[in-house]
Amino acid sequence: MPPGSGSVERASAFWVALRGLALLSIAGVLWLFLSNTVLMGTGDVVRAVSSLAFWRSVYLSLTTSTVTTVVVIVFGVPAAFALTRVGGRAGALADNLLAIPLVLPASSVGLALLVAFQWPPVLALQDAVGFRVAYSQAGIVVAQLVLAMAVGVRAWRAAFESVDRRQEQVARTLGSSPARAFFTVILPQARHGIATGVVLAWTRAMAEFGAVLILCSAIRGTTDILPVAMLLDVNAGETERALVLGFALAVACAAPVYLSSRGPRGERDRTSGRAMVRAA
Amino acid sequence: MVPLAALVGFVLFILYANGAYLGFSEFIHYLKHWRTWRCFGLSIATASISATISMAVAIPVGYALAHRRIPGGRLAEVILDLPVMVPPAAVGMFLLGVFGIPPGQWVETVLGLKVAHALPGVVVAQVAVTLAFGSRVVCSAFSAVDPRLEQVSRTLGAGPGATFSRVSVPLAGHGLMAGLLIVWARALAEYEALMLFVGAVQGRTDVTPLAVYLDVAVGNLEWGITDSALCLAVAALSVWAAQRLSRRARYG
Amino acid sequence: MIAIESLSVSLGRFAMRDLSLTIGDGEYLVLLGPTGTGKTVLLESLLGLHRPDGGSIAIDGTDVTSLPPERRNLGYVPQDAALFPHMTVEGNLAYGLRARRMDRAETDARVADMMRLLRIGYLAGRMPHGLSAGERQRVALGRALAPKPPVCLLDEPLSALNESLRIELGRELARIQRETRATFVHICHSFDEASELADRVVLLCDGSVVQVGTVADLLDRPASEFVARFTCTRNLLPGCASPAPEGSVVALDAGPRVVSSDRAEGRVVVAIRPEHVTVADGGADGAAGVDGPNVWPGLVVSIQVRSSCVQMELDIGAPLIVHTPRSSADGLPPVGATARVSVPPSAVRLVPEVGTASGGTA
Repeated sequence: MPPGSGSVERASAFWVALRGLALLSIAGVLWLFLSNTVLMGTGDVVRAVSSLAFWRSVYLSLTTSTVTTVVVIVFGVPAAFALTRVGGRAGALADNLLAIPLVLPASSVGLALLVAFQWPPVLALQDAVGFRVAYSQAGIVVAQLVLAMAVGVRAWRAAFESVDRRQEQVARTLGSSPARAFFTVILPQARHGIATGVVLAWTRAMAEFGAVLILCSAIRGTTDILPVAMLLDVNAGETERALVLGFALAVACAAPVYLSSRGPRGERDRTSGRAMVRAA
Repeated sequence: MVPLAALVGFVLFILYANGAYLGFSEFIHYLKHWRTWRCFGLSIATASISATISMAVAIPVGYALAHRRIPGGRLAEVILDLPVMVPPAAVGMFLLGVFGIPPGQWVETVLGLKVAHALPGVVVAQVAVTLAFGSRVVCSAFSAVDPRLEQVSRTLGAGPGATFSRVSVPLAGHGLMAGLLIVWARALAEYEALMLFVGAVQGRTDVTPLAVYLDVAVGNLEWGITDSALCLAVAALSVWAAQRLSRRARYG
Repeated sequence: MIAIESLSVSLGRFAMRDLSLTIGDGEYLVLLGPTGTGKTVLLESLLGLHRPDGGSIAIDGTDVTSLPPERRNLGYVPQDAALFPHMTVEGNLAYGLRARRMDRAETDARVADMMRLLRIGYLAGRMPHGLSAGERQRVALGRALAPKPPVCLLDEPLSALNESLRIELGRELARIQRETRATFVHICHSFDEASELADRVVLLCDGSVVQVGTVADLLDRPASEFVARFTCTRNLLPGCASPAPEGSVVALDAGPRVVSSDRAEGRVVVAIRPEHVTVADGGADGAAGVDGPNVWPGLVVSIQVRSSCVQMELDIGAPLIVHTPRSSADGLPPVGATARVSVPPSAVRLVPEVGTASGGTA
């Protein structure tokens, strides 16, 4: 039962004030999102949506963030599980190191990556392999990777922590190897939290803008993922087109998170809810 | 274990590469420069104002959220949560739109307060990005308070307001302080919404995150790294303090 | 006086329908029932923590159904004490007085009174964190009583305590209720606890009142098989009753005929309290039916010695549990022997079958 709900209540000034403030906030949010639709006429929307550049941006955003998410899952899920098993100072240190990108301005993250990948030894290594990260589409993935990884690892760690440690121990006493216990006991129970983490990592990659801007710069036709294209349009004075891009970006990021947060209550809510809170 | 080591190694490598690129004497040189501190001071000031505004709204709204007293129910809660889910860059874009048409435009034309591409815009953008996030943090801090204590307070003759100020707020105190710190740190690090809404204007809106962008734009990476190091130090400090506070909240 | 008039509350899957009850001034009322029968919901509805779907609650003639909790002036001791962890014991005790804006001197005097009444003066400056379970309950009781409410509602105040502490604090509750002359409404799920404290017991099941009465009423005149079961009437034997001159005769589904002074006809359950059965050594012939009705031969199946009695299980065609005081347990037959078992017809109760509450004493 949510606290205090259902208690017999007369319209007290306290709750009237609180509800009034909440209504104002809701109105503010709605105003922020809806008033902009006035700016974009249908003509603008049609023109923007029918342009090749728009779809190229959408395509670039979708592909880079999907590639990023795959890499994040491959490294992040095992790393998150390892984090739940590394106790003490080492674990806390690793945890905090991985969270750095979340608390640093995105411009600083981008700069740090730029410096690291333009560092002569690393540059030589990249040339030997045959591609460069800075100012290229590979750089988009790298920039997204750093932030999506931080979000994913936090969410997955919370998901694994919500599984009772004793269940793994019981599985071991019943003859499971650690790997078997992981795949048969822990993973199935954490699956909703893990799914939430995937959604959060993907949307974070979609939303990535600041670090990309610095690591890859804003180059029309090469690095213009949705938010970068939006900035390019704003600077070119094409506010309406930028707004269409903004709405596309907002929907692409908010819809998956919203959809994954609803659904049947109970266990699903518990693990994925915790994953969300932690990732935020 | 190997993936974890790889990730930690990657982060350490990036930190090392930046340190090696910058060098200690350069670091000290830029750290002593007055412009570094002007930008940083601007950052601290705007973030403090924004965090105060955000929390002043987020505390009552978060309390209403925790008690499921938001008019409009589930739909209203989703709307309040939207700014957390929408990328800051898009929020910045929408702000640009909002202040470009009549009701928002009047702030500039009638009140004479320049918002877009000016310092007040920095605060507006920071508040817009942190407000919903703050409400969420406040809501979880209030949800951690045992509802039974609030019920007992009511049966003892304290009304909803007195219960809020004498039971809920003191018990959620550490959580609220931690929330304030996190909101402040987040406002301090805000960059993407600022980039679209106010833009980086040398000497006008160059809070540290924007200063880093300007540094890169003119090719002065060393200065940018110094600014970043400053941000990292403050972020580490506030996250550490917030963690301590929320740990005390759990056991106290 | 509290008058509850056809109160209905629904809370999630739980529903309480049409409950009516009157609570008199100065009485110690125990709301008894198994877990999940709505005792706490009823209590919280009285307090105003749930909004009822229908019905009314009146305290001393004033309708309080739509008053918020802080305007009802009822004392409340929640299940886990729920002391304010950020205030000292003194602060907790004074909370209700400060909420009523009582002046400083009077508050201090009242807090001192409460500490004397509950014998917790030595805790005054302590924080709730380090208190023992018994101390917490005392402080919670003092906090509830400090504003001198006419009625104090206690939600399982003793269930978190160990056996000896429960007995000690139970006695304290009785003393404090006598001294304050307040009405106490106490929730519990143990019949033993209720029997130690209650002036009157209200037995609840699935959101409705099953029986109201004194402890003796519940023991001697259970209104249904549920009540009989709840009051530890161990022998419940189904059968078919037909009228007889002195009451009825019941043909058990398995076992002998039983004579009862109750009047009933058709399907019934025979309820016999284990302490009402007499067992004697049956001798070699196991002489049955010599000195009146309800005397049967019985095979001794097991014997357990308990702290208060000796419990025997006998087979008289149906299983029968018998409690004999330990002081008179010397002549009992051993396991495997045939004993002479007798029950006076006046101690044989006939109750309706399974859970139905109709036709009982009220």
